[in-house]
Amino acid sequence: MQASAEVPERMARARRSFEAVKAELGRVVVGHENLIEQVFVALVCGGHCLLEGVPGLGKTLMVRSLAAALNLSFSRIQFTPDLMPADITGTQMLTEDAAGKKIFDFQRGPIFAHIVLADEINRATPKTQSALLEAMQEQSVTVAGKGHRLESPFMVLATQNPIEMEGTYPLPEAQVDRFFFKLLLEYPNREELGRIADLTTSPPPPALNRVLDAETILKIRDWVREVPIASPVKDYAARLILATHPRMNGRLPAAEKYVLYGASPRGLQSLVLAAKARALLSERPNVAFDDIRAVALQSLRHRIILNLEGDAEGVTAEKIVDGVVAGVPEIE
Amino acid sequence: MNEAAALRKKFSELIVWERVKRREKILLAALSYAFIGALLFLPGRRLLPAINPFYFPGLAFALFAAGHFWLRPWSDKDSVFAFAALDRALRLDERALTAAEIVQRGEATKAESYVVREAAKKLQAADVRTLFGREWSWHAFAAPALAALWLALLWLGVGADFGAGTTPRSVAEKVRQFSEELAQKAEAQKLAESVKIARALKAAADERLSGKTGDEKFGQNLTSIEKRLEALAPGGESDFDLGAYTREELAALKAELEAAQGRLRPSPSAGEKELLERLQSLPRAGEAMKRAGGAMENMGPGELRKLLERLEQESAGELERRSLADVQQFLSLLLKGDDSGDVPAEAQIRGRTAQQQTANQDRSGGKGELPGDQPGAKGGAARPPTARAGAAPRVTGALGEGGGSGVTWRGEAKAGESKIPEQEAPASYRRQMEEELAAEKIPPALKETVKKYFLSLGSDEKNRR
Repeated sequence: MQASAEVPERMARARRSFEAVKAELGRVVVGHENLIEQVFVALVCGGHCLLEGVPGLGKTLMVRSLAAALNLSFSRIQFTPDLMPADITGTQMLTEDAAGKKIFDFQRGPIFAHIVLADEINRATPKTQSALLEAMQEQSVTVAGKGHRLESPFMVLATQNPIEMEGTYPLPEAQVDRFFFKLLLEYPNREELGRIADLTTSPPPPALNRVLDAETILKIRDWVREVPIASPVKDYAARLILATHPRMNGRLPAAEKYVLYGASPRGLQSLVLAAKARALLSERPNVAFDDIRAVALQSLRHRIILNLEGDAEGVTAEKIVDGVVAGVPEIE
Repeated sequence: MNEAAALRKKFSELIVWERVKRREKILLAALSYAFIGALLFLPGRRLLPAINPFYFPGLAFALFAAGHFWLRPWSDKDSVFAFAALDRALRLDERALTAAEIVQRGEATKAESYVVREAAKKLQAADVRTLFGREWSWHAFAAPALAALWLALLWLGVGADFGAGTTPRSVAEKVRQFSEELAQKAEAQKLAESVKIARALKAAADERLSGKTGDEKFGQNLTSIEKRLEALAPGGESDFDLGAYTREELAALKAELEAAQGRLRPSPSAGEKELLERLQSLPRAGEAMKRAGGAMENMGPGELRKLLERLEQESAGELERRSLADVQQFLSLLLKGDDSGDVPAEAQIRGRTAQQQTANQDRSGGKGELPGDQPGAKGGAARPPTARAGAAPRVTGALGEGGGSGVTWRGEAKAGESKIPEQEAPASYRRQMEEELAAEKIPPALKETVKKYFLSLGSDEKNRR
């Protein structure tokens, strides 16, 4: 059992990569340091993020900047009620080949990019929203019976506005569950607002440097999965998931009272994988209980469905997750 | 030695140390609970006589400790807790926990090997005994205090009498109490030997109680008194069949003879008739003499006087004999170690007295001399007051005028017609009353009442006429 020097080297490399991306994004995005870290974690875990925040908080800017800094292809889809699935996935077009023969050629949609920004995803119809399902889960799209593989790394960053609910179509649970993290954008503070004012009213900053490539991201993805996790830590994550369920052993009273459905097994995958990524980016060789706790909120909040009583009493999924994290012992 | 082996050794040290601490903790807890149990058991130890209270803490300790070790042996979970504690103490972010699992499994990826190496490096200088020193719980502090308290209570004899109802009395105390009662009784009845024995018993008991003698010497003293009693055992034939008399009857007879001593011998020249008349005023003596010598009318004055003297001597001798027999019985029970009863001798004395009284009542047809509830009917069997050894005879009745006041006289029912003419009866009663008053057999407080009553008997008779 001889340890290789490769492991600390790759941990350091992952850390450096993250720091570089963070620094580069910090040139154009004010604040949101935690958000950047969480998006990066989701990226190196191969997950997708649902960003929620009021308009003007820099969601689109952050996603665009991320794509720019990562040297990855980027596409933006503005979701509207009349948006069709084909507008996302692409469609068969009748064209002529070199010999002048009419043929159907598949015209790729905006989904064919490394980073896809699904802006205001809840404004499209469920039919269109579901066009993303296969892409997000299988990383492929099927058009006219033919599957088309999406390039890795592939990441969907969807945004939704929590205040303008008129004319929106809330995402179905199945689709929400496919998002690795649900991240909330907080309103900038006074100092950050000042910096925003400076940045946006002065000459534009030079273009972002491409500090990370797809190949490195995929390597980091592999390294994340190799991070060891002890059985008691895994068991802790599993017990957190079970505690969100209203009818499972180990449930908490608040979950029993206010939760209709608890977190799915995808929640556990998200929890463990994100904890591994966090450990790696912190240059730690293994997952700690703290890693699990640190990623619990973003991993579980969108996977908990409250019942009517919970809604009526103003209980939020965040409160349930906080209660679960506080109430479940590390070792049992 | 590679990192894995070093780590394995370190983990082994940690587990061994944690097990030692846990074992100590369990033993201390068991010890505390054992003493708590022993303290709770102490007041009720008489209820479980099979268990010696001295062994109870040991038994309880063994039970608690064995139960705990059997129900909660060291498990993998305990090891996990130990590794997690190590991680927390050294801020290892679960490296120890993860490494322990990897080391146990044997095979490892590169990343896992790195975890092992990191853990080994961090734990290299760690001394688990220093890191996780003993933490004394309240059991550790409570156990000696509880043990001391238990020993003190055991030494003070707490709970030894639980359920017995009375405080424990030593043999010496019993002997002293018996001797005091015996002395009181013997002095009242002028029993010289009994008084001497009572004094000897009291002296022996006092010496033991004051600590001048030990148990052994005390036992020897009692044995010597018992031997002395055996030597004193009076023998000889009795002319008066006094063995059939109860103790009270004997006492009454003796008192009667003593009271009438002067009157029975007014002068050597007193005639036979006068002597006979006076004897008739002594019913018990007369009855005894009648049993012994037949009709007194046929005896000469000298013969009657000799018979009376012998009766007096023999009644005193019989009382002495019975008193000494009681002492002998008491001592024999005491020396045999039959201490099951609280006051065996007294109980036996009382028991025998009661039996004799019952037998006496049977002889008199089961009827007492008390007035009956219905006109013309006699009352039930008279129940004399319980006689304690040495207690003076008492007259029961309510004091005061009016209402119901009465005086109870004990005595045998006499069959046949009265020999005293009706006209002479009040005078005879008054004479007896005067004798009784003179003999101090009537309590002082009642003397006046008794006197008025008998004087009124004559005046009533006169008024009726």
